[in-house]
Amino acid sequence: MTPTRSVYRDEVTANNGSKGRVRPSSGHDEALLRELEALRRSEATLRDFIETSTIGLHWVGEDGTILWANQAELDLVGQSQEDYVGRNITTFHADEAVIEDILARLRKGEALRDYPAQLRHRDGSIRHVLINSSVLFEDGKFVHTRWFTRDVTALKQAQEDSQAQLAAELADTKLLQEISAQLIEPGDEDALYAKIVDAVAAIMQSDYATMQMLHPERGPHAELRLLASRGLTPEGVKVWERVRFNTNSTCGQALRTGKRAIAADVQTSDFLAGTDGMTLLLQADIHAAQSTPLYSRSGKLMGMISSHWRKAHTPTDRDLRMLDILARQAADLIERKRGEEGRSQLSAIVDSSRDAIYAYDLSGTILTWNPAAEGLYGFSAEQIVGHSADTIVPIDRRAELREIIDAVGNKAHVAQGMETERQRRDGTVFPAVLTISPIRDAKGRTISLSVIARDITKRKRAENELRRANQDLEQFAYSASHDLQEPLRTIKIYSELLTERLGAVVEGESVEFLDHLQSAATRMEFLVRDLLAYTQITKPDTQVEETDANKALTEALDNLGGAITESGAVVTCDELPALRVHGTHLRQLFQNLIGNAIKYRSAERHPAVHVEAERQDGFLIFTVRDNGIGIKPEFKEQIFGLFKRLHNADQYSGTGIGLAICQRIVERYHGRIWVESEFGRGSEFRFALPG
Amino acid sequence: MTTERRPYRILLAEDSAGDVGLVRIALRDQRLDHILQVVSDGAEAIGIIEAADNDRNVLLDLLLLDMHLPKYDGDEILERLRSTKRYTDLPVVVMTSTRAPQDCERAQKYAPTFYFRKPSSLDEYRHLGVIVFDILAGRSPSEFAPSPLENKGGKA
Repeated sequence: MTPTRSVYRDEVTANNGSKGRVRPSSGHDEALLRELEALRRSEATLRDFIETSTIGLHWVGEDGTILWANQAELDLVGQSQEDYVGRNITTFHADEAVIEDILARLRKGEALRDYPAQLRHRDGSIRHVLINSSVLFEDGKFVHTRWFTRDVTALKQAQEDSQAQLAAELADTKLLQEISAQLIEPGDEDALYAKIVDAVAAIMQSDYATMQMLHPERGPHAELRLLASRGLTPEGVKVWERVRFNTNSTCGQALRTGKRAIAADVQTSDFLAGTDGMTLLLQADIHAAQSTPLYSRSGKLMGMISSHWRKAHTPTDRDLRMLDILARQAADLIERKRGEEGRSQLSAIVDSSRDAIYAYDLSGTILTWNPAAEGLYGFSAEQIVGHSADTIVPIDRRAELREIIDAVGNKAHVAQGMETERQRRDGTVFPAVLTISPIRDAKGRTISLSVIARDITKRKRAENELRRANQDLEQFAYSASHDLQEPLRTIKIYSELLTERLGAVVEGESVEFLDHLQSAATRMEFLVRDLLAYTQITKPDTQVEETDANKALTEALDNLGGAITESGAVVTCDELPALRVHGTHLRQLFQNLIGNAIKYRSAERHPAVHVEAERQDGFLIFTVRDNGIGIKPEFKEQIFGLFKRLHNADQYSGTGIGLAICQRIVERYHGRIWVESEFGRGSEFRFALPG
Repeated sequence: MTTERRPYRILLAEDSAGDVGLVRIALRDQRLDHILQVVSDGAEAIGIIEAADNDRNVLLDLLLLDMHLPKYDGDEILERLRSTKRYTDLPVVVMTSTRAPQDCERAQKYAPTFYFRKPSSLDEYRHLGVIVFDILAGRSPSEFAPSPLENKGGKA
């Protein structure tokens, strides 16, 4: 502040010259008195004005002695008139160099304007003041200096405060900036967590700080896991390493509410007071804490940052605002870590998969290629990525590839377990099963297709072998039962002939022998006949037409006529539907099941059989219910086995093929057959056929 | 039955001795004056047919033919028979051992007079005699109808 000498001096001079002092003039007493009176009044007014002015005023002699001071000046230094006036002004200045400079300047006639100085208050405090001062000269003679002292201590303090605050804010901002900068580049995550935690403590001016991550992302086992902490003792780390949903702490509270939780005083906090959590906090010398949830950009809770104080503390809005910026960055960091972890997990799975996994875009250009794909196709990722998927598709299947891309790519269908063929690098073609799914971008548009491919050469070969073996077996069973019929027929007729011829002459045991011969031949005839029927069920059929189940049932009952009449059985039925099965097969089912129902009738009851059907889940379920002897639960499965019989031929005759035939018929249509029975009360044979 | 008529000459092409015996019984039961010539393979059957076609002293009135024979099968024999000069219209009873429909299909184009499915009961076998008798007498042969008393019924 440079004093502007000329202006002051001019003013002062002008003052002195024209209106400064008025000398009494003897010729006009009256007027003079009046003038004096007016002058006295004016002076008093002026004096009062000066004395009561809030600006400190004082006069200082050439040697520095204080000559006069107003009340404001005295208040400024906390001195009384007596203690102040008469003393040297330098005594009251805190900075000697400053007052020396001021006095030197004034002696040289300089005027000071807003010259900063520091006065020592009686209580020892320093008052920052701005001094305006100039010399009163009278007839060129130094009379005294006039000082106007303005107290700017409060102002200065405020300025300093705001500067400090600005500096702090600047430091915090720099901290945040630093963290942001580090977040951009991949680096040591743990170091970043530590940095964030340090920043939390710095911003919140807290004694402790922690950063936690929600792990796993969701689910009943989700918990907050400590990523980094500052100030916590090892015991504290142990206690808060894993914070569950029900933990009594600020972070537990924030986890439950999804909002920031503040405990300005742990002992009086509404969610901590009196809990085990409070005890733990106090043991760790924590008396105040806050936890701020970290939310990802998509609004998912990722974790928590917390700060803790040894004394009760209410965080300021400004601190919390800064913290929120930090929280945003911490959330990003966790999200990135999650993303990276997820990616590395996925790529580990893909890399270690034994199935070939690869992807191509909608134009068919291969984008990714896992090691198993290399093993399967013989192309390395370097060789194939960027090339057309046509490379691995046999030429006659390329149109199919286009169709797949269209179906999966444009219509987002998933091709599951699709059997086709693929081609290796050496040109060999192999059967493959593919699962092709769309890969979508954030907006749900399909951008590429992922393929999981497996070589099914072995399976195909095994399937073919099995099919062939089955065919051979069926052919064998068919031929065997077929060819067995011939000699059997001959045996049967000749035994009849023998009986006829010898009937009159043979006696005793020989008759029995002939009987055995004949009944054995008859039984074998039935066996062979049923076996032949059994082998013929799976023979491929030209066409399956709609069959009226009522008609099939009528035919079955016609065929069973003798047995029904003989047993006196009552067979009833509901109206039955029509369905796509071979009439012969349905007839055979009814005939065998109703035949059994009559055969295994109870001696205690009149045999009654009821047939009904119901529709359920795309199936027609037929029920043949009887009141016969029933089946013990342990036999419910076995009875459908080939040649399986529960009774000897003396009790109930049979070949043990009837139910096996039923099962084979039902399975031919991918249906099911089962029995529900109460032993001694009756059975319900049920079979489900698609319809 | 007239005394002045010569015996019917019947050729049986059958490789199963058991069936040959049963055919004999069936024909004998009809008290039919006949001479049964039996061959057990396709080549022999064709030999007889060709001999009869070329030699007027060899005569044939009916052929009982099993479709499955060694050397030549039934349909090959029928093929030859239908291409002879004298025996294109010879009555033929095709004997099938099974319910296999392809046997009948194979024989069908040679228009056999009757299909006889070899039965598993004596009575039914005996009915073959009736069939042969009907054919030789110029009647259309009848199917076997069991007498009601003998129906034992009951299947499954």
